[in-house]
Amino acid sequence: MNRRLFTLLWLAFGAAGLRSPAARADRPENSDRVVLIVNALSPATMLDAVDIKRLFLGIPVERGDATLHALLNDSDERLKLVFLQYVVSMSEPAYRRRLLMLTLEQGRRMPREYRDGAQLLAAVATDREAVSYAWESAARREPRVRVLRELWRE
Amino acid sequence: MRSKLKFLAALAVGLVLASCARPAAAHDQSVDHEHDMDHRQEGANLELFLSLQGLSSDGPSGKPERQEDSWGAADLVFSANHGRWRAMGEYNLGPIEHDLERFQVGFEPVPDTLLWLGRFHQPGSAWNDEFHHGHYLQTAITRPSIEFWEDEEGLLPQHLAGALLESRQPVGAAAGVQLSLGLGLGSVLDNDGLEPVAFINRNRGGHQLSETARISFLPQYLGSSSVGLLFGHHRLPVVEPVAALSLGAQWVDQNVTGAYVDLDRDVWRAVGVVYFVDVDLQGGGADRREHFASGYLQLERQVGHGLTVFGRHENSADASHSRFVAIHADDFVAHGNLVGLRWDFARRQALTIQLARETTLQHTQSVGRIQWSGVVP
Repeated sequence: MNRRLFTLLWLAFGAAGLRSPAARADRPENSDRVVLIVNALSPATMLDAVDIKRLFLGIPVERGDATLHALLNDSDERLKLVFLQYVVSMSEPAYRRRLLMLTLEQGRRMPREYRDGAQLLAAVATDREAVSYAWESAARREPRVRVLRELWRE
Repeated sequence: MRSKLKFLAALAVGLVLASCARPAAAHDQSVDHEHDMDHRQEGANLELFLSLQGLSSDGPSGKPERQEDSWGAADLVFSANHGRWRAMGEYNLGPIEHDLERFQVGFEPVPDTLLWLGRFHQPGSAWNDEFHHGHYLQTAITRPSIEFWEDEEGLLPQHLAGALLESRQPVGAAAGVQLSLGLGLGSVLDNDGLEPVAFINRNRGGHQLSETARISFLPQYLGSSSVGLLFGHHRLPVVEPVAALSLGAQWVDQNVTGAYVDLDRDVWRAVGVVYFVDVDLQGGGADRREHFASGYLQLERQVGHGLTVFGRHENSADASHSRFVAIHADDFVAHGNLVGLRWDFARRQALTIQLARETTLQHTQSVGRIQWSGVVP
């Protein structure tokens, strides 16, 4: 019995120990939210679901003299799933195909894609017209980025 | 052999260009963001659609005459944006032919309304206006017979040189309408069939104005489903005496009316079209009027693990009674069925197998195909 308990404990602690420190640092905090983010100086004060979907299909949205454009946050698998399900409502192949079709039909530029969350936040922080999404806990750490709205809550 | 070498050389150039282009989906983590900030609405896309194919048929053997039947194809799509201005082109090359298929310069005066000038795919085609020349985007390996390009014994002009207006506007809470109008110089008829205006190769001249249109209802304004009506009117001068003699006409006046559905819901997709074609053969003594109809329905279902099964039925009415069809498209599929399986096995790459049984105006044959298709970068 003791041996079985020891094995279970060993497996549980072992599994926790296998996660790298980096993976733990990137992991969102408990009850985190996925939020839409813009540059702190962005002219965008409100974007509805249709505008957000337009942006992530590569179709620019205008706010005053600014033409907003989207950046894709591909830094986290869970974030990507939330984006596909709640923002564009498409499977990943369907979304990629749709982007390709819009490029083929209208010569539109596809949203730029970032695999590093810190680089994405830096890009939004330096681009007044960029729109993206991130875990709220990460976004709050970058003062040059403003949270526009919630997209999904755990 | 020489054509193969030319094709491979052109392909290599395309690959180099595609890899040199600044990709929209930047995986390079050393991107200069300050630079991006200044040029966010400016930039270029370069996509190279590639495909390799093997086919086996119990029909008459011979050298493939259509790009679609050749062992490989490359389609380079390039576009550039500068504020509200756009430029785009599509260069298709393969062992059988190569050509600048599209070259358009556009202006977007208001969001989702674009005015293009140049050589474009006419909007009255349900298939070609969606998938263009690259094979990767279309689930089936082959396009339906009525959608064949002009140089593949196509029966309807597909390329116009002139102006194209495309507008998409919301209706109600979620729906939308789309209107596309294309006005430009169409094709002439020679011994090989339809010949559109060429931007690179030699032109025969004599091209007349064609008018085409598409009006669609979009259940979801930003979705991929649509239903609509298609229109086309083409004046086709017959520019070679032999063609005029066999056709018994100096002019062909062609009217096309069609309706289509393209529905995309969850794992299902259905693409169906019917075209009614009126052909007036004029100037050959006794004028002659012909009518034929052609259509198809393709159903697709994603079954998980990147697999999609698909089937298509093509059919026509009165095509075998048309002199215009008999002379210019003896490989036209009067009716046929196909089934296939596509496997999207990696990012932007797919393997497809397809089995077809088709009856052309000449014979009935079974054709099996296997294809790899992909997009670079």
